[in-house]
Amino acid sequence: MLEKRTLRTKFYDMVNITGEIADIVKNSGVQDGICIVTCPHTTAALCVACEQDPNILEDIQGELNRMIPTRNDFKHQETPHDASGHIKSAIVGPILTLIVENGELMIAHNQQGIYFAEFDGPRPREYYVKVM
Amino acid sequence: MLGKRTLKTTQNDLREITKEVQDIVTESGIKDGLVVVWCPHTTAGILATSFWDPKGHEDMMEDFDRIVPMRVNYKHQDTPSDAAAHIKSAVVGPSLSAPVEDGKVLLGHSTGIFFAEFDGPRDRQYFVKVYGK
Amino acid sequence: MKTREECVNPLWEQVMNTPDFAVRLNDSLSPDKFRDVLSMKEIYDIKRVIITGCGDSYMAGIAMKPAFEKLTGLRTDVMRMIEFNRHLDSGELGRTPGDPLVIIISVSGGFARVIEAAKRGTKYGAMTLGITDRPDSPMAKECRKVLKMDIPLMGEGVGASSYVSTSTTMLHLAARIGHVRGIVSGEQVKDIRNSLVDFCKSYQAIMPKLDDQMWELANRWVDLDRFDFVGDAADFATAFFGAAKMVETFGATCSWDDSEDWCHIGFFSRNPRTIGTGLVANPYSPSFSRCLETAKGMSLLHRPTLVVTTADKSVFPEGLEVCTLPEAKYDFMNPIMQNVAFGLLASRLYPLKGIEPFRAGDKDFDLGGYNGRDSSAVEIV
Repeated sequence: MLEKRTLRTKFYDMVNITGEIADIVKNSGVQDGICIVTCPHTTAALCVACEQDPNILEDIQGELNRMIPTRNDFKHQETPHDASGHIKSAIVGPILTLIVENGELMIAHNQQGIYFAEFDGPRPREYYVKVM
Repeated sequence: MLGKRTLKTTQNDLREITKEVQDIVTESGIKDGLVVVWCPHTTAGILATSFWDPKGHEDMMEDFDRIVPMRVNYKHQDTPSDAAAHIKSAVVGPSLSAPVEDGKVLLGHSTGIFFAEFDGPRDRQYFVKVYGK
Repeated sequence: MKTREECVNPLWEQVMNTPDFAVRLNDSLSPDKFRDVLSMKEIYDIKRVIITGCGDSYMAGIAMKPAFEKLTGLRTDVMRMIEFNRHLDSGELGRTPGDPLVIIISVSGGFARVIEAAKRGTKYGAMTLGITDRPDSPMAKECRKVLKMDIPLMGEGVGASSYVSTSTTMLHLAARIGHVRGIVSGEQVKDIRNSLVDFCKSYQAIMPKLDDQMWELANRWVDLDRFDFVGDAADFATAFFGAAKMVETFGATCSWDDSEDWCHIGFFSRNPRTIGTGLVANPYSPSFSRCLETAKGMSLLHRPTLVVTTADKSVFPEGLEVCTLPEAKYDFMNPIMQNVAFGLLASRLYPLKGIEPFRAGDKDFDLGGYNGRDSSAVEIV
């Protein structure tokens, strides 16, 4: 079963998509299996982070920015945000594999959140969820 | 089949779990499929690297420190070690999947699966899901 | 009196086709063209923008100043070319390498003054960017960067397309610079592009009705020889454009000003009932209230007045001819198209008067290229 979801991101956004993915898993009827989430963009990625303090999300984006600053001498001359976004996306990665157990998404509730990380934006984005 | 293991980490620990993962795969009886290792913590991660040289592991953890240093001015004000660990965890990721072929986890000849502790020492756990037939 | 068919001419055809042309132009201006013109580093070197040109090119610069400032976040000055070439302190050019961005606009790129502007800007270290239809022209060769504008093939004569083409090209350039500088997002750039196309399409629908209105007005105004055009800031470009067309087509005696100075000076002109007056007054303009007072003055003086606006007729004093035009999603786009009203009026007035544009065939006028646009000496000061 493959599901597609769309979202509208803000600039350097971290969008919590845990609820959507948990629902898709629940509705899939799969009791015992895996769930693959994939983001079909190259200036965005998927990551798992602590959902208890929104500051952590800002720290993640901020630190990625410090690691891969928006420079104007990237060889890819689109915009500095776009060029650095490609690199951040490659490092964080666009695919996440999760475990499905007893018909539920396995995740440390109230601890781990699945985030759609926007490294450019604002943009309309999408992601796919495969449960099997 | 789902396996669970616990471990006690030290600070900035990189702990090989390849054998544990393989044991769970063997126990599952699955010959052809996929294994997913999942870490349910947000200041630790799962990664794959060479198992040969423990000095290399020190290098790797030190370089994580260099890339994401323990600073006092993170917005998340827990401890510098914790705040940096959240970022390292988000970048490294909490899961790793690998093919299972003939009942063996398909890895390179020098590849090991590691539990990376970015804070610690702490009681930790991880889950191993084996999927296939 | 001549019929409408007898008053068809190249300028009229060009103005009537402006919306179609503008839609096609937006389709043909590929994002790659703007991506390649300035590198990201070059864009970040810019701290200030100076736009200069003569005639329609200068007007297009005035028209796009608000768009440039809004989209790029950079201070933008539009300068008359003689001011830029001879009066602007050379220290303002190249204080740091690649700053300011000097945009020199010229369709032909061949006149003495535009070559001079390009040479001067480049000499003192500015990032000179020529916007021209002729990338191999002498002006283009003196510029560090060249952006080719697209204009349809047309004969020599009074034109309207170059103004639309130049302003459209500048709007896309501003959006590109703003995108790189993080002022506008990629989504907004796309939305600006789409909104501009929608805006041009909205004009396609109203052109026949606008033509009716301007034909009727031209018949009422056929005996007028003195004209006066008023508009503020970006709308000054539209006013200036209207004045230029009246001078170029039938040699009108003409003045052009903004609302405040018109209330100080133009207001006193004698025989106001014989002065054809154009007022550009848009409701989103910060000086709209002053424009309304100006309109009131024009009405009290019994000036024959045409108001060009996006507002409804009812907000203006009675007795003024009001031309309500479609409104763009972004205010800064309106000046790209509002010129068509004055363009159509001029294109109908000169054949009705039986005068050839640019005083063709007028023996008194043949002074052997006296204005020296080509022959004037190039001086770098």
